[in-house]
Amino acid sequence: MPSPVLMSFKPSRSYGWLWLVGLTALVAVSALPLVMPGVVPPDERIAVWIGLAIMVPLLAYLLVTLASLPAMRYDLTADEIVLSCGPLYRYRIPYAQITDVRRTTLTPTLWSSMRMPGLAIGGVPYADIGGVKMCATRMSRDILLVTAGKRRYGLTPADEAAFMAALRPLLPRTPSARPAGAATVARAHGED
Amino acid sequence: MHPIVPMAVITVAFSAALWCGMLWLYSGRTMRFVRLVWLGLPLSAIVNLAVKGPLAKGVGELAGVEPGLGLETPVWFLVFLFLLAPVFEELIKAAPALLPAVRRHIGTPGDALWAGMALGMGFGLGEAIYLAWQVTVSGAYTEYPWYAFTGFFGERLLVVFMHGMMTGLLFLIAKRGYWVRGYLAAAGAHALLNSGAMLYQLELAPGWAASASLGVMLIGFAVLFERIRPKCGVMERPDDTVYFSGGV
Repeated sequence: MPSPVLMSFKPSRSYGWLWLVGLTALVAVSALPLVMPGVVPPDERIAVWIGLAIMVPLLAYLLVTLASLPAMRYDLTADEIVLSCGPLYRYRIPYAQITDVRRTTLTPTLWSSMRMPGLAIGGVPYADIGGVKMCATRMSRDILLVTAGKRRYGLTPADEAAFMAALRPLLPRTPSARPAGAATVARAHGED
Repeated sequence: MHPIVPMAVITVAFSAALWCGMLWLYSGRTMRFVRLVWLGLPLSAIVNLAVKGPLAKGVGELAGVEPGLGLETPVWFLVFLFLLAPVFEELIKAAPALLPAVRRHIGTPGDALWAGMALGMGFGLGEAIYLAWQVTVSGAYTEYPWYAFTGFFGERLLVVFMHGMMTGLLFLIAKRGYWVRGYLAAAGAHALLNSGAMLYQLELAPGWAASASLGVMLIGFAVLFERIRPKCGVMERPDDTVYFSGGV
């Protein structure tokens, strides 16, 4: 049975959902000729079926994702961080497995994924660090990157300071800053 | 107003936003290379109206080959027509490199890739405008609604990136000292890209197969892009704010 939620945080606001609305409209308009009689020649019926087989599930996926965006949140329980966005996306990160938490800027690749300016959800490949499970309202800049074992998760809490203040006591008790990050670790902990 | 016009406006606006945004992001969040896109815009109309069109017409008239013969056209003339686009378009896309202002942008092989991509994307956007204008003046397809031109949208959207990749490849190889090799690589990729459409026009392949070949080429170009583009460093970056490091 999952632990009760101790604290819940919302992601920072963004207009990424507008891109998703645009993308959904684009797919819907692209599918229109397929269902309009006379637009596709009779000898290319196979193209209609191939097109519909791709467009209909894609449209359903986009609509469900769009409807899920307001539900995006980050929950801290006694044992884990739970990143969730509607019924399609839910990631659990046990505190015991967390080895690194940092705010960073990532470089996306060309490979298709649910990421656009102001929005990144699901598995997203990044050029510099590989695949990251995203549940964020930013695509690349100022991502709070959580490394747990071999997996990485990206989030963008609206109040990052409050989120870190709540998370820090729950993290494993043996943090040891590496030399390259020492200065920023000190700043982040408020140790001047 | 011809129904392709609204779709052409959407196509050019969306393609420009998407690919210029990509160029800005990958080249280090700078407008330095995005500004070169303008230089490529008129090149498609120039090469089509001043080079390819007169050459195709002139050589056809000299050889006595009538237009619209399809498979009855002599093979040598088909090959000639097929090679016109790769040979001359790749040449004119690279022509702005003769300008000192453009050469100043090309300090490293990475810069060469971004500068070439900017010029190629500009060419691709200009080509979309040119093709839409050609359809408009021909008076064809006026019976269709504007949203029936989604094929134009999809094809041009992808081709803008592909034009960018081909010129980027040319510039990248040229920056390493191999101009001819770079040009041949770009023209060869261009010929491969056009082969599906050529086979469709000759009725040797169905329309969906030509579209599928475009998709295959897109994946090929995306793989190539990820391999050749400059990469930034991994995890340890000085501007990261490290909240926690170490753990179990």
